[in-house]
Amino acid sequence: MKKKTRWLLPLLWVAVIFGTVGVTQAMGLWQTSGRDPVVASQLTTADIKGWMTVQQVADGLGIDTAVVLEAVGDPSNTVTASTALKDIEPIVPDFSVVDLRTALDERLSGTASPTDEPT
Amino acid sequence: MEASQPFHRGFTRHGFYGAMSTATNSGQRRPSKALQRLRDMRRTTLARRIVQLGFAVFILVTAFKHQSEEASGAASVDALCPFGAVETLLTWMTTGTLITKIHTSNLVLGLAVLIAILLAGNAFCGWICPLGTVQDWLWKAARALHLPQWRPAERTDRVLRQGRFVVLGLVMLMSYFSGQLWFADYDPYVTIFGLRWLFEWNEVIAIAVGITTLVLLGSLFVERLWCRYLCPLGAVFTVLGRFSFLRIRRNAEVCTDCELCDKPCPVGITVSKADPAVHPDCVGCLDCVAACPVKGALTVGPPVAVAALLNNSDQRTR
Repeated sequence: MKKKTRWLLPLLWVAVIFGTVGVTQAMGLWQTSGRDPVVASQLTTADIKGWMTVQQVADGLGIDTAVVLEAVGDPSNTVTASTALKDIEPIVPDFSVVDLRTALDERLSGTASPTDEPT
Repeated sequence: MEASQPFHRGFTRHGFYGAMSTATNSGQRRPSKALQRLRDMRRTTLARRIVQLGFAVFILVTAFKHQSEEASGAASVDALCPFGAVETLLTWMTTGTLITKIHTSNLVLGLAVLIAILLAGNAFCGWICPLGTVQDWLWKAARALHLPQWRPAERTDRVLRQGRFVVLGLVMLMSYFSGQLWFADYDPYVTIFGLRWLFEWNEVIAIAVGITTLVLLGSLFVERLWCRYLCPLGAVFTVLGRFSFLRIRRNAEVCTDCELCDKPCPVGITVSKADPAVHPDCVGCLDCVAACPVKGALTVGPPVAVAALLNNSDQRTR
């Protein structure tokens, strides 16, 4: 086999990568962002993404921003309605979008934590 | 040797080369086989550098647009990494959803990489990966500065290479249990090419920059340190690479055991001992094939049995 066959390696790689991306783009399957427009009261907690702001989460779920901010749990009150969820992690230790979804799930389903129950 | 024939003796990264040219009967000088081989090696390296640079620049430009213009729609570096498919694999298989910051683009790239490696072995690390590109340039700088190189003993090297599998396991588990792109806070590729450090600064980014700095400093003393000992995607390729249809293979009948192929390998594989396929840690840079002075000793091809079948059918049709 001639020495020139070694170029098959990089050529095949580039062809397969661009070919696969091209085909999936043509089929509409290529997606690099989850940023769909937030429609008021049309979101579920599973749809909450890191790029969303607190306001967008509240609007999407059809609840007050105060509820979302409470679920975020920011003792310093630095987080505002315009703060993106992905920017909360450096502000609130141990914050995660996954935990926020769980906390909002509990609030929306009415299964509040014992500390929230009236005494 | 006649005085009319210039003779240069030297030993470069690519090996020993003898006479640079030989005189023909007409008195004209034609390049010797050694010089032709040197030119071949340089051509291979140049082609690789161009492709590497192309991908690295594309990623950087996309990341800059993503960070600087929120409405640009430019993809994040997370969305353009095939390793994202591995990170989300457990979550996707068990729940049908993807972890945060992972999109269908990652699954598409993961599929593309799977097809490519089964077909053509691992050329991703040597020709495409931007982090590999950075390490190659650092190594070039290290050699220019004559920095000392650390070559661990074979046994130590073998143990250290398992580090990639440890990182792979850790990343997959942490991604699954957290539901997030856990590795993004530590991944040198994301740190360097994501460019977050250019637009903001916090403790998380500082830690990531610190880890990346250590890896890059280490790359000055161990060629492709990240690829050899820490890259989780490299671990995946090592497993899959064993099943590649096309691989660099050594023909022991033709090979003269000169070991010139060992010198240029950036990941320290003993190519001269390939039996017949090179170790699956191969990054597909092709420097060994270019350095080989014996025609047919190192080639890129299918398994020996398939190659024999193709040769036999080729001869029958002639």
